Amino acid sequence: MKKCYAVLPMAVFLVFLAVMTALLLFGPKRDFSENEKRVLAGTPDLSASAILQGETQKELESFTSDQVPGRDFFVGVHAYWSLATGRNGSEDIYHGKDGYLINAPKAYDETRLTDNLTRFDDFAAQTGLPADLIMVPTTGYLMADKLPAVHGAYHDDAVYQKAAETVKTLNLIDVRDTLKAAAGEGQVCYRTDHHLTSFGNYQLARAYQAAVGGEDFRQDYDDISVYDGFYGTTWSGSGYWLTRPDTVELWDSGAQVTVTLDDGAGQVKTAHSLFFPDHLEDLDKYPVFLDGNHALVTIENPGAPGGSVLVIRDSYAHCFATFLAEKYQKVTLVDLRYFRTPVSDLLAEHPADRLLVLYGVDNLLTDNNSAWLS
Amino acid sequence: MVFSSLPFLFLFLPAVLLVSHILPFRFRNGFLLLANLVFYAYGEPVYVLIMIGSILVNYFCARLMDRAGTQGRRRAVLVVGIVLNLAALGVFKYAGLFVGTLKHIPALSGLPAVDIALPIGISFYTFQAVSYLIDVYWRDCPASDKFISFACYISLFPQLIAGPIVRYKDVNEQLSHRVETPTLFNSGVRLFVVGLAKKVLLANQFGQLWDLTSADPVAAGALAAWCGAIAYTFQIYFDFSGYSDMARGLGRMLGFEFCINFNYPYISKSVTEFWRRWHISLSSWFRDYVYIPLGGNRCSKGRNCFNILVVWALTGFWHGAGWNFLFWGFYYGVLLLLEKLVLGRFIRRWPKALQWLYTMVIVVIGWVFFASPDLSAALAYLRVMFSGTPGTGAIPLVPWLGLALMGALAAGPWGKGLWEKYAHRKWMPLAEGLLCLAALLLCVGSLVSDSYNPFLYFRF
Repeated sequence: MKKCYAVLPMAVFLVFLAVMTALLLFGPKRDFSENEKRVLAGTPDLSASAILQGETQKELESFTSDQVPGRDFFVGVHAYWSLATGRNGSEDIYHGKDGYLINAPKAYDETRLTDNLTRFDDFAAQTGLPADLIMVPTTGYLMADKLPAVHGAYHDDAVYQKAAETVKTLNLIDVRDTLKAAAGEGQVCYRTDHHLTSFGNYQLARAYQAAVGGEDFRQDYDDISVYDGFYGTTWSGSGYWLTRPDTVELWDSGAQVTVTLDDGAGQVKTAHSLFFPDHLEDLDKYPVFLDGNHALVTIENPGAPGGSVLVIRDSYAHCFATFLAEKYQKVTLVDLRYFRTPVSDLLAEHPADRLLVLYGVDNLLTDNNSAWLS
Repeated sequence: MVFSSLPFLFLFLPAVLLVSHILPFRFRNGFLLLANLVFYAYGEPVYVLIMIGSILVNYFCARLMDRAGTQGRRRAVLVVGIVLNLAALGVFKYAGLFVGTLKHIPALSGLPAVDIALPIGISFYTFQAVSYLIDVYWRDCPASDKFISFACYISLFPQLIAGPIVRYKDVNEQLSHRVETPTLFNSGVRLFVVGLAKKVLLANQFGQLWDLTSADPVAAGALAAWCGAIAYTFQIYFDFSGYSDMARGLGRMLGFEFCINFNYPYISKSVTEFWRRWHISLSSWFRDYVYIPLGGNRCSKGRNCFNILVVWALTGFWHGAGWNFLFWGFYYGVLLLLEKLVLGRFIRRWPKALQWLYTMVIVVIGWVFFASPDLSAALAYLRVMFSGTPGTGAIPLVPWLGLALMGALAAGPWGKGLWEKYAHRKWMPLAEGLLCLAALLLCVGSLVSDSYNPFLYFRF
């Protein structure tokens, strides 16, 4: 017994290796990772040609890392280890105060930003429609008091300034102060996701209506349903699994809508609600709004006071559009990351009274799909 | 395959440990050879043939030398053997650099570009093979008459791709007779886990800061550039010494004992001392097979200086096929000469802290030459370090303090001292077991995290 105790590290090492190997080889395999939203690698191809070309070896690396027992646990171990050793401020996702997980600032890529803004502006000029631009600030900018002591500088103000200098046709609606002020009244940003909450989007929609002279929203929504257990994409990317979840709120105006979702590859489905409760079963509940990402979404609400609006947007508009639908008879949402038909053709098919460009500040600095406009 | 990878930890290593301890001893070298070939072919499915070629050439050269009747014939075989070894190294490691450089001469600009990928570990196993031939020639060790054990020696997977450079005469005995005890295995586990932690938890992490600062040193600024260079200083040490520790640990698990390759080089108080503590198996290789045969220091002062410069130029060049490596070798050659001839007697009178600081500044600057892709990049980086360029301040430095502290503690002998002090306490095995488990969890966590790749705009 005494002899066995003396070689405890050896025992720990061998048991660890044996258990991990046995589970890796003979344990259940996972096909899909909900946290990563991707298909996980399966057993590698063991043919001689694949081995000679090094394909098997690459597949084996993917197989072992994707199927390693306790994969998510290990990712968490690493995240909390980095946090404990003071690395928070150098990570892509900050572990902020009060359970806020906040994306680190993206690099200030002025060329990309100007390219994006110019393309939107040129397109707006081409259509001749009254056109507005909303840039949704980052969580790090809006919730600066929740950031860790060491963090990078957010460029939201610089982006706004550049936009003010760049756009000629688009009317820039500055929502920074509105959202900052609203943060004192309620939760504007999710703690575990980079999007704005329903309350935040409500404030955004009011600001939009005020800017375009449209009808204001009710002060009191009587039909708000609240769902717990929302773990957004910032949480998924962080590895900070112990963070408490968010709640997601569905603010239902009761409007009778017809929603058409087109994935851009021939699949079209129709629904009669802005909300897709199937996604409330998932950890990431944000796709409950308009079923997540789609190339083209049209929302028709014949009873609404306003006309029609075409929105060129990213995912920040999913929740925002559920408010817009209350005030406009037709809202058409185009996501340039997936939409591959000329938007001018679309406009001919779905004429609109107004144009709105709505993007998150981060995406304006990093995404270049606006090129599809020209 | 590298040790700090999941396929090695959870597929290759368990299989090798299990089978090699079940098999009767007489089959073990054969199995180990097979494992070595699988290990090498995993990363180099085609170049494994070059290694097999090297094994055959060196095995038969030594046999021939053994049977050659006269000293002249022995020498002829030795020369042929060395030339063949160095030719392989020349073609696969240096041809691209030489041809690329010759192409700068207008008359030779038409030469075809040579783009040969470097076979992993060729520098290590070639040097082992050359030391074997010379030792056989000097009659320091017998020529092997067991092909499988010799092949096993050249291709031994624990030290195949990053050393230490093991000599045949040191493991000859172990190849035919190895004692495997739980205590030895346990000490192997200890070394392996320490090495793994050095590589994964320290080296890989420090590498991130160097990557950030070296990508755009001017934007990084002087302070960040210094931090980046220091981070690389830590990275290379923990990477290389971690790998050597893992190699020695794996060796012990299989019953082999390999030489120590690093002896806390960053506590050195002179450049001369630094090189006595850094990559010991390479320095002693050059000492025994180049420096001493050239005459060492038993010759005129001028000749001695020449010998030192030759050895250091070769040492630099061994580290990589690039002129910056040659420069790096000369840099040390000149500094060592300076210490030997002039500086040494002054340095000895300095306070110890100053001696250490002087050494470390030289080492950190040296690593900039080593780590940069070429000489001009190295000079550009050094210019930022010494010009006080303010930079944009975009690289956060404070988050690296914790790691720097851990690095500083782990690079010195303090941990070892603590361990030796309490090694015989009752609770030590328990503490070691817990540390071993924690290190394994953290290392696997870090390795898994590298592959953790959320695809956040996935379309359902």
